[in-house]
Amino acid sequence: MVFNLIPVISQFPLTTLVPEWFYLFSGLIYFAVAAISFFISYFSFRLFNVTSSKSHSVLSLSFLLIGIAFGMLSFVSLYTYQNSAALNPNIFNLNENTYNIYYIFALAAYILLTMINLPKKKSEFFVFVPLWFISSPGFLATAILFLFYISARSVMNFFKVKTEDAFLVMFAFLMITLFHIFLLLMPFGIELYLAAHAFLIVGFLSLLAMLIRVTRK
Amino acid sequence: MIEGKKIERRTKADIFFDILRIVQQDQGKTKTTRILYGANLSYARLKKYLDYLIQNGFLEKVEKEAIYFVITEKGLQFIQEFRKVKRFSEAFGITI
Repeated sequence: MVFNLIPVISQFPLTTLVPEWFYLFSGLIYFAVAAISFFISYFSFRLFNVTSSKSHSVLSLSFLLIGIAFGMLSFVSLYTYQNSAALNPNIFNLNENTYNIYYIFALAAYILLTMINLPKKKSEFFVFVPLWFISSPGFLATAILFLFYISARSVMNFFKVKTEDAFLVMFAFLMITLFHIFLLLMPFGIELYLAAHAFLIVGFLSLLAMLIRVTRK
Repeated sequence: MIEGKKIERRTKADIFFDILRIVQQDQGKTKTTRILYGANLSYARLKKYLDYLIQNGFLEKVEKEAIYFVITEKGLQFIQEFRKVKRFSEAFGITI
């Protein structure tokens, strides 16, 4: 089976070529991730109405940002797949702009998730995010740093409460961290791109499983 | 610290949940003394919480021979929602 090879737009140097069906594959995964994120955001917001807890509102906002970020990626990936035969500068520009917005939204979401997980006694902290994150490797490296912290906290939480729900959340954050690590390593092999997206969808399915378990009566 | 375990303070929401659950477990209708012992509160604090729950429609006060507290539909819904809140928050390591 022969596939057309097209560049991974706005993620890495244009010398990185992937089969065009990768755009369909990643577009569908991003769509599922966005949908799950919106569900979690909505549920957290409902809980915020019960508890008026700041943590629930921040959690809701962070997943809303993740949902918007991946929703945009889904749109642009599927659009690129549809128009890959006539790859023109407009598609490159659209991809570049969308990825830049994605970097900002996703990083904002990870910072909010980090805030929720900060030790309660330290009420003030300062996050310095240099603007170099607005490039793929820069974004991935910064995101991985935040996700390492979030994952470590979720591991500690799992060992503290030892529930299946906490395990699913811990597993999800570890998978999302692996997604970013594998994307960063993508220049070493196209198959890493495929594996990264497999980790991403498995992670979000784990969050969906947790949500279903919690919401069912 | 007791036996190496940290005692965690109950939040207001936790106390509301405890009070409503005691009433629910007693066939939805119970006396003040049962709630007092079950929720482990002083009388003054319990009165404050009961007033809040009655004012907001989670409980009803019925006076027949003795004073009873009856859980409302809204109170039952709160118990269900709060169980979800606890599970979800615990999964993410969030303290309410």
